[in-house]
Amino acid sequence: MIARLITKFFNFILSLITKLVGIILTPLTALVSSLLPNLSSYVTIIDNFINTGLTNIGYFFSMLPPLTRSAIILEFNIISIFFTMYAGYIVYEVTIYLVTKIKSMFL
Amino acid sequence: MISNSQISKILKIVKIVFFGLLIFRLLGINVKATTSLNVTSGITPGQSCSTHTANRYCSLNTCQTGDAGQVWSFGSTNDTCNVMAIQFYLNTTINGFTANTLKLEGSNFRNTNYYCTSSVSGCSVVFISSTQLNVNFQNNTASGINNAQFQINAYNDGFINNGQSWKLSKITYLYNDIGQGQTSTDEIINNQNSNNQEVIENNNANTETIVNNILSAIDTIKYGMNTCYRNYFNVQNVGYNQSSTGVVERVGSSIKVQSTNNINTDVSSGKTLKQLAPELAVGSSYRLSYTKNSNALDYIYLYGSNAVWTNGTDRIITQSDLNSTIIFYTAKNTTGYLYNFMLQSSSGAIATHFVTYGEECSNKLDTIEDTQSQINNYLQDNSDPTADDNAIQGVLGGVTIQDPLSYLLTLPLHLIQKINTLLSQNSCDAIQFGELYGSQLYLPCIDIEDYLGSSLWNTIDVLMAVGLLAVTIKKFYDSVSNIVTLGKEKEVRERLELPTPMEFLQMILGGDRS
Repeated sequence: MIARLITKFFNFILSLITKLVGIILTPLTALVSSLLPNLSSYVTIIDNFINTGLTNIGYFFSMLPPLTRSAIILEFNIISIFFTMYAGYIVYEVTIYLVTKIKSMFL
Repeated sequence: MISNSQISKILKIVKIVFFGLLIFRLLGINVKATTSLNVTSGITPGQSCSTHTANRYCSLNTCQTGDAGQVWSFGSTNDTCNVMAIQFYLNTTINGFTANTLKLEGSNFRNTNYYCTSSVSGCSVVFISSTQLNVNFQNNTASGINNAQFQINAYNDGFINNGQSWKLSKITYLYNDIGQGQTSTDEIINNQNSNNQEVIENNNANTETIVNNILSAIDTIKYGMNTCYRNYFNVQNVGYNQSSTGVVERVGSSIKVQSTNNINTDVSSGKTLKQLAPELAVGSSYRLSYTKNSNALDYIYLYGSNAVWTNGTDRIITQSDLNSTIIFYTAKNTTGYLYNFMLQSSSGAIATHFVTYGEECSNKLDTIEDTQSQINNYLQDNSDPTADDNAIQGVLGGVTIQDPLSYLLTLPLHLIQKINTLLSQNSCDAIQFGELYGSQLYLPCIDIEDYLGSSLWNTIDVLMAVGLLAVTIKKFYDSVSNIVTLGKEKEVRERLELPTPMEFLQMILGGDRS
């Protein structure tokens, strides 16, 4: 039950982050899409590849006892929080830098 | 000037990009090489992707009780030739036919394993998948099946590898009424030629049939998804009982039957049927099912009714049965284990997978309704038939990456999400290795608790969880300390071997930040 709650919460956060990153990167995405039109399909292939690989790993996860599974999920969530913080920090610094550059061009 | 360390970092980035492109290239070659609609066993392989359909018939004359089943695989694992849906039809109006089970397996099913059971009018279900899926027919009758017809219709999403795509309603011929004794029939395919666009126009007359079949099939899946299974046997009530012939004890979700001498095979549970299954109704028929180790025997005894109840058979319960003490059996002086012990109503839907005590119903109706609504909207749209097919792929729940950059940036998070989803699942699917000389090879699920006992297993669980938590807390504490301590930020980054954002920008744009 706890593991499912954590997973649902995590899925919500992931969805939120993906959307936010998507919005921030909209101009860059447009540029990349025009230069590499097939990138989306390649990324889809990567995702399918990951899915296929992870399917059988689920067999071994099912052997783990429930408390241990919850502990692993907790650890992964903490890792993801730190990754999100670091990614957010990078986006923040890049944005500040670009704004400064643009301002200096007009002043 | 660019320093040596900056050159080194640039070289690292070039290496990463190079290997990334190499992987893309390799994957791209694979895509082009595997565009056929794979039918790996049971029927003739080689149906090409451009014909959009697999419609096959297989006689099951040779499928006898105990056969592992035959497996058909459809579709490919890449995104250029997805199978949209699979429809199954099993003609069960055969003399002597009592019950059958269709087990459907696929990595991307909304419900991974689906069991379709019918003893009267056949069975038709549809599953929607964007990846390869397997169909496994399992004969569950007491004797072999004669002249049963098993028909599979595969619905393709119409996206082919030459870059063309079109509306779903104009591509796939779905239904074929195959006569008994034929091995394979597909008139529509015979009329097709290599020009896909012309085939579409030729098939326009069948559009209504196609749409009706899809909607009908989705109705069926709604019905199927709402099926409830009920296990009346409460294994928790088994408890512990020691008698003159041995011990019956619940171990986790299993029943341990220990014969303590060289004379007796019967060991009393000390409980009546009513105590073990309180909600059984007199006059109703129930099916007994369980799996076991090699020591345990394939029947139980109702002491009081003086009746033997064999594993896998139905019995109409009497009041005397309810008051009877249940006797389990194991070989003399051995320990037997009974797993997945179930008592199900014979008149309702019968699950061949294990259902814990109580009722198990699927609650996917909202999702399916939503899917049907979207498919309806899509099919009713008669605009440009060469429009992209992203909409239908979205409907199907397949993976369509609309924003590759943000996906790549958040790839670690997606990986963690997928692993978390796997970890939070309590079910286990056996790993299939395919077929070898007619035998199915697979790695069965293992419940370690059954071997170690619940006490030892729970102790190991707690120890491992506490150990993991301790490591996690230590890591968390260290990381937070590094972040909150002034001047540590740079060290953390260097330890991770990542460039600072400014260094990264300077590498791209050149010049100083100031």
